[in-house]
Amino acid sequence: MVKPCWKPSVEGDGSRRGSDGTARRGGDPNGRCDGLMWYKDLGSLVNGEFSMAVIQANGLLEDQCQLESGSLSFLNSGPSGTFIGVYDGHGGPETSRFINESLFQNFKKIATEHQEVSANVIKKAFLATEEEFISQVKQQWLEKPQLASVGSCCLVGVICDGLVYVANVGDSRVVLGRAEPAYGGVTALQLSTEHNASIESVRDELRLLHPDDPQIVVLKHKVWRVKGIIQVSRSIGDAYLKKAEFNKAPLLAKFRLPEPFSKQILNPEPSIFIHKLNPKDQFLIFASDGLWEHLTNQEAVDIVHNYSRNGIAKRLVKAALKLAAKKREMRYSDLKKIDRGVRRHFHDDITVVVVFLDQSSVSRSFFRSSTSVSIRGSRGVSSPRS
Amino acid sequence: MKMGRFRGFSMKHRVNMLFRVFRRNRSTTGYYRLDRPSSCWKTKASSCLFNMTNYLKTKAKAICSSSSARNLGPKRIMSRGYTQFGHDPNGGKTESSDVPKGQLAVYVGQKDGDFQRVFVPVIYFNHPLFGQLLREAEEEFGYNHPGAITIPCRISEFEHVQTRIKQGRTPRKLLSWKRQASS
Repeated sequence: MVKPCWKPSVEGDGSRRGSDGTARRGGDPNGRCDGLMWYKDLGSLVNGEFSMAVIQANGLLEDQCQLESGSLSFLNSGPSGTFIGVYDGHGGPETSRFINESLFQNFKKIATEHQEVSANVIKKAFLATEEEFISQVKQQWLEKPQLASVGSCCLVGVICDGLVYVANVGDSRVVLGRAEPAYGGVTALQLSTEHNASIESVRDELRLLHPDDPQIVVLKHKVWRVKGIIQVSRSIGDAYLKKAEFNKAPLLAKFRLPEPFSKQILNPEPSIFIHKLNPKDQFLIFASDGLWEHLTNQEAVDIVHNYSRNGIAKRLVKAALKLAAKKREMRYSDLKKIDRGVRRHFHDDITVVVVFLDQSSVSRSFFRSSTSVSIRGSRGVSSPRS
Repeated sequence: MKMGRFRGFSMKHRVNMLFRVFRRNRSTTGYYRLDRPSSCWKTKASSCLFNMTNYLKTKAKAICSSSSARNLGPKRIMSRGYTQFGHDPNGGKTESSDVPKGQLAVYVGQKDGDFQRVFVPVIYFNHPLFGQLLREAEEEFGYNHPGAITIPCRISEFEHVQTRIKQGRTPRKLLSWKRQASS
């Protein structure tokens, strides 16, 4: 009766079992686990505070996330700020894990070369990561061809010098909560552009790019899919939909596209948006589509506005799970009894990162060098435990 | 420590659940609709009639006493049309008000036929035999299917799987498949 146990990928196991566990209440630096949930209730960073939570639904957790606060380059005098990444994998966990390992390093390297943080730097970091992953697919082509069918969405936010850079590939989303003093509430502002074939403009873009292919988007199970296979039109990985050389044996036929293609079908280029922070901007909610299929932007910002910061990401995840349970005509308490893998029939992997923007602290530059945070969401269950 | 406590709790909970289920199995008030003779369902007309009377009976009882719904619940089967009309009178304010604790509603049936609403113990979902049915559901409807899970198979086939799971449910066996499923 061994319960799968999650390990955060940062040093020092947050889910430790043993006699000293009681001493780690609340202030656990690396987050903790509760069944299929990993969470970090509250932590502080250069520009404010943060809360993170991940729930696993797939047999292998496909969502990954990270938060890096402090220096954003390898230079001591370089830019500092906060980097948030949410990576929602599909077809397997490999691509999202790869991004979690390498994207921030690529970003730092390129920011060092350019001595700045900019949209261009972020875009280059995305493309460098894509290139590295595709070359891994190539290297392992003979022994692990199925790597060509694994991909990931990639949402990044960089908060630096009063700006929020949002770069997105796929259908994760970041929503800003802005205070409305007139009625004491908070309004939701979506900062990311999504690339999901359910959006008409995305389908139009695909049809425009592939005028000779009437099957470029197909309605399947009442859901629009690119080539009838995948909902997102942009991604990292998915080598078999990028280069024809990976759409053949030894990749198994069931993972392949039946007909050959000459032009890449999915695009790795991020949509980038730069938002200038306003004193009324209170917080950012980064989440994979698992959250947004249950909660609207406004519902999510209302929850964050109405409850205390401590554990707010976990609260959002729970709100989504309660709705998922209701849709499946069951109780939330019963949903929790369902094992990973089977859980996918009830909800997707869900990752939530909430960043509170305490803007007075942005100007306190002397704190910058001392407050450095690096935390990654749970690695999930990677192998059977005895 | 946290995990240790959690495990302990979980184990206790599951053992409790086992005994609860075990007791249920021994009782003669079998709560699955499997106990119904299948001949009732041979023809569409009789099944419709049965559905209708059952539905009316259920609703009448539910009106008289809300607590009776639980005793009656598991035996209740309805065609999809009826349940959609009547199963959530609160407009979705409470979660699945008529579903007994520890169970969830699924729809079973084949294309163009009647879909029957059946209550299934939640822990059956972790059973490998049930997993096969779920894979079929995923192939047919995808994961994004709105509403309750719909299993595209004949009700007799579904009952067969349930019976097999039920028969294999001595506590020791249950523990072993639980272990397999969670590893």
